[in-house]
Order: sequence, then structure tokens, then C-alpha cells
Amino acid sequence: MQLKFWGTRGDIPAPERDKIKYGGNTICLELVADKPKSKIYLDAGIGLMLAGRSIPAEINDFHIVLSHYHWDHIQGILPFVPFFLPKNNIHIYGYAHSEIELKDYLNTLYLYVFSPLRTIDFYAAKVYYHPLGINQDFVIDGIQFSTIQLDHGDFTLGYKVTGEKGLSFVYASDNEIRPGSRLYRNLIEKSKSSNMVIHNCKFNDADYKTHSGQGHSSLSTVLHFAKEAGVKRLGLIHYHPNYTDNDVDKMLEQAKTLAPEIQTIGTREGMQINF
Amino acid sequence: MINNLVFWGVRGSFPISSRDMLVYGGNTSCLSLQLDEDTVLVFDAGSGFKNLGENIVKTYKNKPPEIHVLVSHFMWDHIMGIPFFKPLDMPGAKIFFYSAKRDDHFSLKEIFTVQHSRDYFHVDFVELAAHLVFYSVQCYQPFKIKNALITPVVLNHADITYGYIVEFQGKKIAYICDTAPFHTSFLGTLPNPKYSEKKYMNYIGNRLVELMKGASIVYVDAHFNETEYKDKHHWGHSTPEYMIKLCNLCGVTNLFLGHHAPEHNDEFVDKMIADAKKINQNPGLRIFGAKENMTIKIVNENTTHA
Repeated sequence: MQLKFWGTRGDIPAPERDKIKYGGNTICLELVADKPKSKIYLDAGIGLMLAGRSIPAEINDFHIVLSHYHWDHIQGILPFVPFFLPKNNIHIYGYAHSEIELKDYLNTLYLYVFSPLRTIDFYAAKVYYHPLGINQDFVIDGIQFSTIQLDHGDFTLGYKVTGEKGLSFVYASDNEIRPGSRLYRNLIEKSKSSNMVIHNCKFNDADYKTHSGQGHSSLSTVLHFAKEAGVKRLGLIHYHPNYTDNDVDKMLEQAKTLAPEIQTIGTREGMQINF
Repeated sequence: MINNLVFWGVRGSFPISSRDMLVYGGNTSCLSLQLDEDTVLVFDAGSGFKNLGENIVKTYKNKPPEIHVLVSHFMWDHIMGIPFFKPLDMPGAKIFFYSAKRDDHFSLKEIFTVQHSRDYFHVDFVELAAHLVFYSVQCYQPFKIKNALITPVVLNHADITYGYIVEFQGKKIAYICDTAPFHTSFLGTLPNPKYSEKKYMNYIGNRLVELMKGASIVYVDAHFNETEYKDKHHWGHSTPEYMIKLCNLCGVTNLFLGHHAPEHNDEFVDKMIADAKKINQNPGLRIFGAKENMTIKIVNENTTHA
């Protein structure tokens, strides 16, 4: 499978000139199966709007797998063009106890004061809701997903994603590293056997001092985790909306010094990684 | 002092980060107008509102100014910057929000609560440090903020959308966003089903023309070009051509075309602006494409510098 990045920014889109290398669109990743029958996305930040502009006509099935419902992870659903075509089937996955609950989380986007569409049922496409729990496995187009509970608010999921060749990565876009906690140990276990970890790194070490406890991680805490889990390849994601390309480059330089044994990558829009 | 009008976001509908959209910018609706040294007037709170907030914190350090925010309507691109507005975390900050009086339960305070609920954001409404005041305002009823007189006007967009006309230091500045031309109502809806669409459109259009008379700076929704507008006349957005006509009826001197569609790259918007200038027959009306971070100095003579 191939992993493509449509958006890597955290919190709110940051469409500024000095942030264009890593990109200013909020988080959306695409998974391309070796024999793709459908389009698969991880999270639905504004990157999803851009992804939706170039869909081949023969694709009718879409899978949108969500980590949680904070605005920066769902705001790309509203302008996603495939929703407007009756031929399409769109499957949405996210943490919830029922289909109705999952739909309700998203329907807030459509309250009539927020959007002219008024309800998510407005769409011409057929929409299916797949509520997920913790440690749940499912398969889409031959790609295996396993959910991981993360440390970010009450109900944020990470995913271990395994491709057709058995290579895998862990996706933890919103997570705070708190060594020793149950969720920390759980994430270590899931990460040990994977080929790459894509993890939140919203803050550099200086800024984290005043922002710990908000559900996001810093460079040093992520590297600490990566070392303990024996991660060889680490992708940073969810950059602070104020961080310029220069700021991200600085963090990557620091990572080389702090953890030379780990290949640390700054994920950026347009990047593709094969598994 | 110099009273600057600053464009923090002029993109319409959705923020977008793209290499070919950096000239006009990707942040959504937010303009600010310095009323006096301690008072900032703001038009809308789209993603550009975040950058305005950073700027306020930088400029005023620990002594926040009074911030008055006029909200046109509640669609996402006009309110999405609110949770990221730094002055909300400043103890001692006073922030006043103004929006249309509504018959339903959706006050702006309600919107705040939804935006800041745990399901969707990591900070709860009650944790905010600033002192917040929410005002409901009524169309065509002027009110004062310091030395400025503000008149809300009804626009043709969403369920209830207001534009704002500000009279300040002998000048008139109008923020007319979002609106479709006053021909076909938004998605065919009317505030009262008994209204005749034609009469209602005429009425709100005429009121706007009357109130905008003699404005020196007007910022408008010019989302579509004429070709796109043909199929989308009920979508709530205008064209440069329509806005030029409207502004010429009012004797406007400086027109800023904004709310650029997220599908339009810089080259496309450049062409729309160039075409708009060609269409305009009136040398008394100067036309500009609104760009992010553009600052307009409002000076006392009857001139402006973009």
C-alpha cells in the first residue's frame, strides 16, 4: 500500500507562505491499496477537500476513517465533492457506541446556522456509519486496521495499519506521551512490531513547557517514546499552526542530535510513503 | 493616530493552503479596523481571526484593548477562528460580539458553547479568561461603538446574514459579505413564506443602496465570475460585475473585491479583477482585489492608500 499526505497541520488551517513546505491544510492522509477498489482516507481535515477534487470517475466507494471529532479532523467533510454524487457509497468510521451517535458527532457540522446543507442526510451519496471501539480490527480493500486508544480527550483513536505485504505503520495524530500510563504502555506494544510510527508533535520542547496536559506532544517526549518502543522510522505530524517551515526544520535537526538511531521525518503535504 | 483597516482573511467558504493561492491568501473572512488606540473593531471571525489575535497579543502585550467583533452569520468560514483567538485567554481582555437577533435559540453564545464543547475542542467555554459580552443587534437599527456608528443591513445569504456599515471620522466603510445579488433568494428561502420574493429582494437591496450611499471603502463578496454565477444564482454569493453596478449606484469610491472562491487560484482571481476593472465605466470608482494582510490607511482627507 501507499500512504499519501494531503494535510499535516494541526488545530486550524495555516495557509501562509512560510508554512507551505510542510503545508497549511489540516490533517488528511490517503491510503492507496495495491489493487485499489476504493478511496481510503485517515482523518478528514481540510486536506480532504483537496483530495476530493481529483477523483477518477470509476471510483464509487469511499472510506473515511476518523481518529476523533475535533474540528481540524472533520472540517474537510463538508466540501468533499464525492458526497454530492448519487453513484457514490461513503463509509465513515469513528469511535462511537452506535451508528446514530457517530452520525450525531458529524451532524453538528451541518446545523443550519453553520451550513446551508442543514443535515448530513442532505447528500446524494449513500452514507454508511461504522462505529468503532477500542482494539477493534477491520479490513478495507485488503488493508488491515486495528484501533488503539490514545491519550487525547475522552475518545481518540489511533490505528495500526497493515498493508498487503505485511508492512505496517501506527497512526497517532493526536496523543500526549505520558510515560508510565496505561495508554502509553499500550501504544508501545502496538508500535514495537510496526515499521513506522506517525505521531503528533505539535510543540517544540520550549513551547511544551507551558502546554503540557492539553493532549499533544513535544519533540523530546515523542523521541523518548520512540526509543522505548524501538521505532526505527518516525513521522512527525500535527504541527502547531504558528510553526513555520523553519521551525519544523529546527525540530528535525534537533531530532537528529537527540535520537540519531531513529530516522525522523517531517511529514508534509504531497509526501508519499510505500509499505 | 492612523486608523488602519487590515485584511486578515479574504478567502471564501473554506480556508485553503496552496502554493498558487499565496497572493490573495487562504484564510477565511476577517477584517479589522482600529477605532482608537484601545479599541479594535473586527468584521467576522474566520480563520484570519487567529492571526489578528496573535497580532493583538504582540502589540498590546498584557494590556489588551477592547475588541468588538461584528459577526455576519454563523457559517463555518466566518466563525472558525474563534477557538484560536489568543485574547480569549488574556485575563482582563474585554471582547464584545455582535450578531443578528434571531427567533430561534441560536445565539452567538450558543455557538461558542458548541465550538468549545469537549467533543470538538480541547478547551471548555467556561475556562476562557477574557470577559465576553454577546449582543444581538437588529437590522437597520444603528448603534454606537466608541466614536463609530454601526448600522446592520440584511443581506441575501443563509438564513440571517448581516452586512455592517460603519460611519467613522466622517467616512463610511461597508462590509458586505456574504451576499448574492438581490434577485433570487438564497436556496429559495424567505424569512417569511408569505413574502413575495421579488418584493423582499427589492426591499433589502434598496435599503442597502440607501445606507451605502457615499461610502468611501466597501468590502464585498465577489465569489463567482459571471459564467459560474449562471448555475449558482441561489448560492448566496455575488460577482464583481454585480458589485460594481451596486457600488456605482451608491457613489462608492473604493471597492475591494473579496471572498475569493477556494477553487480560484491567484491567476484566476487576477483575471477576475482585471476583467472587473475593464467593465467599470466610472473613473470615480477604484477597484481592488482584496489580498490577505493588505492594510488600508484611513486618512482624514478624502483619499485612501492601499
